[in-house]
Amino acid sequence: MTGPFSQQNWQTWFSDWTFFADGFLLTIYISLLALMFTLIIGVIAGILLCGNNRIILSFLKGYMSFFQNTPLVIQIFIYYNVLPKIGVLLSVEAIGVLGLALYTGAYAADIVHSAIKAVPTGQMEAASSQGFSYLQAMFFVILPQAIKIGLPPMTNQAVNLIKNSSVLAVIAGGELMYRADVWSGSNLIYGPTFVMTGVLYLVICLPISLLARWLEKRSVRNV
Amino acid sequence: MRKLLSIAVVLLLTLTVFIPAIAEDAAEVTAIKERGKLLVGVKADVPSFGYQELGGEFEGLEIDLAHKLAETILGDPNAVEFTAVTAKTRGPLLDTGELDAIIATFTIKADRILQYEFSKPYYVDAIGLLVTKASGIASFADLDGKTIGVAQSATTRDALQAAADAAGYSMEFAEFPTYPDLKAALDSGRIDCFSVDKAILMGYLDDTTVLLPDSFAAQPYGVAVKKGNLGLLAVVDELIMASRADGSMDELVVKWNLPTVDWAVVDQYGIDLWAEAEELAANPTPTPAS
Amino acid sequence: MIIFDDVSVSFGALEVLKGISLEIATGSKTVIIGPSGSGKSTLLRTINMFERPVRGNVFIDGVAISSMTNRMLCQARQDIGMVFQNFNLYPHKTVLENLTMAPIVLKREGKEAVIERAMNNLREVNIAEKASAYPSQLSGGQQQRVAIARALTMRPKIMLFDEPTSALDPEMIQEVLDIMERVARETPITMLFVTHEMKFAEHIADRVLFLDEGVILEDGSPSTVFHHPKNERTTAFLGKILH
Repeated sequence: MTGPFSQQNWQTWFSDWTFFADGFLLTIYISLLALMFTLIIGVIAGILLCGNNRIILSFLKGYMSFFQNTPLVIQIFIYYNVLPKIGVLLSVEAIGVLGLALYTGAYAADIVHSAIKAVPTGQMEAASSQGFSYLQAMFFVILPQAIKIGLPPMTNQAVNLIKNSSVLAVIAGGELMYRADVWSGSNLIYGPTFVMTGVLYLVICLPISLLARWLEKRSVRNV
Repeated sequence: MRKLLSIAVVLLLTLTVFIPAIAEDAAEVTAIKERGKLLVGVKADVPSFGYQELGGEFEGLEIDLAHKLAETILGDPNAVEFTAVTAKTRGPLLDTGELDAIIATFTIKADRILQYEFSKPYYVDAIGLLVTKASGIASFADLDGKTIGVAQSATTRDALQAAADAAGYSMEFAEFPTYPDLKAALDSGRIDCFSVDKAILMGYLDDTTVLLPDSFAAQPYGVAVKKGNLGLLAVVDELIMASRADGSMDELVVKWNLPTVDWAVVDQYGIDLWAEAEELAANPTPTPAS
Repeated sequence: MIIFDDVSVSFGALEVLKGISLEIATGSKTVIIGPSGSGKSTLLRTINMFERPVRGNVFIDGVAISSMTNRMLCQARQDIGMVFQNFNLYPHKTVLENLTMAPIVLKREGKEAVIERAMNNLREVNIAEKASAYPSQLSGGQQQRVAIARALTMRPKIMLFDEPTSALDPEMIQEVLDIMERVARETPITMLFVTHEMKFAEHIADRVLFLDEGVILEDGSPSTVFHHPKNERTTAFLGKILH
């Protein structure tokens, strides 16, 4: 009866479900937008990484090294507390989208780059011999093949992105994790709160993970 | 006749609830004695209450209180082991039995009483408002339409919301996991006001910030033990009431440079909160979403 | 007409082509032979600027392709078909789409007209029934025939064949050679072949070039080069190939 998982605590949690539903929707909304920008960053950076412009390459290497090797929570903290000091005041949602996209984009760039590299060089030669420019060859010949190679790891990054959105709780993000912290912090009903919050993340992430696994299997079969 | 009957029923219910409870809980006090050590969760980052210099000893009013409790139970004030807790860890550490008691600026609230046993208050603080000097904010009224930063797991938000509603002001709230996060958000202009208990705010007062004169709802601090551990709770309550009566609690307050406490007011809060909790338990209405 | 004017190509410190000067008549069929590392593939790849000269110029119909901007070069390559050793079909496209994509995208030709031409070309290389198959479903010989049809569908003025049968299983070589021979006889396209198939060369070539260490050692009709070579190295090379 008593204890963190008492029936009373579950009832209290469920009576406040709309509070968590709002956070859940915000998590999905921020994640979707961030994912879209992640893909844009990943494709552009991935293509540029295949080029040989020294300035662009060192810029991209710098970007990827920084964002892959510093904790996301620190990056978010900088957007939230340091950018305002130079006059850039972004909303928490904007920071969520931007922060997650820049962070995950650094990994997506790697994935797109390796996927492009995995397409045989003969493909670029065949396209060039027909008169395709570099960019035309990329879009008509190389990327369609690279997508198949890069989709499974990219899907894994999408799952990471959704889970990582929980760090927005440290800047009062209003998303699912923040609401779990705030609600349980006030009334100390942490048992049902964190179980259900975990379940809600699972509900979004598990189908995507399964999709990734299925895509991976399929791409192995198609080689 | 009917009245008598209902009194009898209530008495009977009370007996059935409390008699086995007391028998069990005495065992839990015995367990502490057998272990020879009291395990207490305290704050490490709140000066004057529970504070630990890098690698140093814990110190503060709550640390002294824990020593007193160890002396009461075990006869040795040093038979106590401290664990630094955060708002997120203090509840689970009690539930798993890793700690006997939490003495960590834990504000007594009606809905919290349903989760843990809280002792009588050993201190009461008021909510204060910290703003930057540059903001030009001079009183609570200037905060109409502004964003207030509060700590997660603190009761500040409910109290300020009530005060704002009463005055007809609108306020946004943002909750942060730690006090340094709050100070950073205040410095960067993310929030217009940093609001927690006054004693805690004192630690963040510097030459760019100013404490507003307003005070809000008193925050009574209590010792928390696991739900149902009435034996230990009784010992703690007895100690606190005795210390309040003989003036030794006031001495601690003076020793740590804290504002003095009017115990009559404290008890009023205490009674209100437990009555509210009982009502909540009997009639479980949804807790208002904070 | 293709003109090489004192063309040198280097890979780092290694000079692969050493001051080649050469004229190739429009509509002619030229076979380039030579030991591996002689620069014969490089010579072919210099015509569509896959390799860039460090010195000298390549002219196609009087225009220096070696000094074109990227944009002009893409335009020029539409007229220079290439068939690769490893076919390099687009695996994500059907056989028919392999043929039609470039004309539709690059030349902005009408879809129906391109499909009709592509189907004709697939019939020409005897593989029309596989139009909707994917490259991975075809044998090597079939893939190479599709690759030839793909190059033809661009209606090129020049076609370059870079060891088109070297990667094929022996039993598939002949079907590809037959197709190449037919195409060579039926079209006025200027064709250059890098190949070790001497019989094929004898049948269709107007001219045979023997390259060794980046220099043209023999240049003449197939019978002259194969039967009356001027250079000892040619004799030695032909001896190894033919026996």
